[in-house]
Amino acid sequence: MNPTNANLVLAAADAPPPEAEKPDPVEQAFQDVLEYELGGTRKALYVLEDHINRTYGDAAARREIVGRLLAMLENPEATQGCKDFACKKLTLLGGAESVPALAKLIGDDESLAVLGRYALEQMPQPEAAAALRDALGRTKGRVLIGVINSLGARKDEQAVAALIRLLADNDAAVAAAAAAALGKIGGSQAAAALRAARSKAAPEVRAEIRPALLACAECLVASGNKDEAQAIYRELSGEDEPEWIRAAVEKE
Amino acid sequence: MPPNLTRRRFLKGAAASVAVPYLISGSVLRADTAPSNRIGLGAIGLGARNSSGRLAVGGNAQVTAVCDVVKAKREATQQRIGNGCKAYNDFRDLIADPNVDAITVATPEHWHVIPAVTAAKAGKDAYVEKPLSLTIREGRVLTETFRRLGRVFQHGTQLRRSGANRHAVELMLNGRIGKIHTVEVGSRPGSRCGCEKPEPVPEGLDYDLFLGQAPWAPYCPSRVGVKGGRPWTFIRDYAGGFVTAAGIHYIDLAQLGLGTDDTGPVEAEGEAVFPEDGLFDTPLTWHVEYRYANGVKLIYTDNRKCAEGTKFIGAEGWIHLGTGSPKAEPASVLGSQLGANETRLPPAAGHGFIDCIRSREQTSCPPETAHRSTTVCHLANICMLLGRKVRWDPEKEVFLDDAEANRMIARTMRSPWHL
Repeated sequence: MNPTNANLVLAAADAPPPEAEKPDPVEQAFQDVLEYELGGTRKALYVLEDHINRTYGDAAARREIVGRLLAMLENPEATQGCKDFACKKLTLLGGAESVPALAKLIGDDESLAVLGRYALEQMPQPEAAAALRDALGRTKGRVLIGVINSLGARKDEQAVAALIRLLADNDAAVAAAAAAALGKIGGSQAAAALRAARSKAAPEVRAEIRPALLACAECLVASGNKDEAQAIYRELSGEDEPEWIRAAVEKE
Repeated sequence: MPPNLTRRRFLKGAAASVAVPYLISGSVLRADTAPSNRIGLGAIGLGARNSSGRLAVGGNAQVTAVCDVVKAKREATQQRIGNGCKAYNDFRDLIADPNVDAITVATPEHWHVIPAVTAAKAGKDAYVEKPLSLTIREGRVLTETFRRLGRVFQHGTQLRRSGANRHAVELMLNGRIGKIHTVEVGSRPGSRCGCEKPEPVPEGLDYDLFLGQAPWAPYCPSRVGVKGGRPWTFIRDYAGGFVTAAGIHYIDLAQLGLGTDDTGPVEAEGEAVFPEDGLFDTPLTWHVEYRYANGVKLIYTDNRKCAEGTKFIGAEGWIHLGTGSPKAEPASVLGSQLGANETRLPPAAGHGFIDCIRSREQTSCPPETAHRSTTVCHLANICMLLGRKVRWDPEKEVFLDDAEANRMIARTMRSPWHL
């Protein structure tokens, strides 16, 4: 090979790839995020966050992004960090199509269950609420408490019957969570159940029932059920109630 | 929509002519406090911002219990206080202590509201460091809970209690610089940190309790700052960066000066420079512009672009407030005396936390005020994270025509935590 040709070969070997071969930074970020470790480099996350922001209003682009995020959840090689990122973005972008994959995360592993709930609790779609209600029957301990809390935060009226059953749970922490959730949801049925449970409840459950009943009473007043609200106020004015609860009732 | 909006408006109208006690009832002092009649304070979070010692000065209160997830901190503080002070790892145990009448909260931001609401549900009062909350929803839940349960609350925004600042605000309210059209707020900028590999949780740290409501993440030193500092301030899962933690003081002064303590802006748009990489993911620098319903523009940025503090710019001059003495142009404005019939702010003196635990009156920074100021900071973070203008309805507390922004009003809590 003559020196000129050799130089050309060497130059070609060292030269950067042509523009068409450079990886698209967004595509690269979708690959890199699969290996994202919490506490590690966040560069891929920032590229994807920027991409998400720039596609606001572009329904097709957003559908594609949601599809990629859901694929991260289904990918057994994706790290905890990747799933953390995906669920936080699905919290903002996810629709009914996202619910099954998010619901699947709510199992025995608390660190994944919270990621599934992270999105489902904030998504307004009824399918998200249905998935959380469904999880009541197949979870236990802290995961179950988290699901109860999410239903309370959503003020899911369709969960009231199931939450009333959990008000009698042997685990006082579960029962207390159910009481708090019923207080947030409010309504006559929730209020009646809380009143009925009050005298038999363990101390830590009773401690949640009192403020839950006050919240229910407020909602009942707002919806015109003043008689039911008054009944609650009368009960909470009893001599066996703490002084500060009686004072709070007095000012209503 | 916040519940009881109609009642809040009614009460506000009624209170215009009559000072309504926050809670009409008897003593909240411990029955066994004889011979001392001091209020028992429980301090949750024992870092540099712990105010319990300051509140106890004067003898009307004493610190009876301390709590921190770092064993060395709580034991050292307990030893320093002595006098039978108890030390707890779990704030729930401190709140259940019968010798605690009220709590102070100086924890990371993701731990501000949960202990305060827990205390209210146990019949106790709370002083909470700024910013009030991690999310807009947290602030509203706290406000409603303290109102419903008749508990006393104070937010740690001390600048609005300063006599000099309040006098300057009164001068503005009485037109000394003309109609205010712009407010400029400058805050300290954020911080960056490298990436950190996971490490074993150090002895004496309850890491699960530190994480609290935030999603699980492996321990590394700069996530927690066991040996000091507040690195968690710059991690989104726990805080809003200096957009909330530092700027809140000056945003709160802006709200006071504009007379918007019970409302907020209607638009926010801005951009941030985030760290290129590393553990910290909150803004380093930022520039946000808000618009209030009356047309006033609020510019919120870091102190490279605008002097730290709050500058009110009117048609006839300006007044700058901050941690030092107020400044003005023309300077003579500050020497102006208020006339007998001119508008004055309610007095801050006598409305500190300990005063109000006894009087059961509202403090100089009650929950609604704290929530509204902190919400202004949250709006900044939300519009910068979304990268677009957001329109906000401060009455209904929802974003207009922005489903994604509305999903950022609250965050799901890790079990077992809830509000």
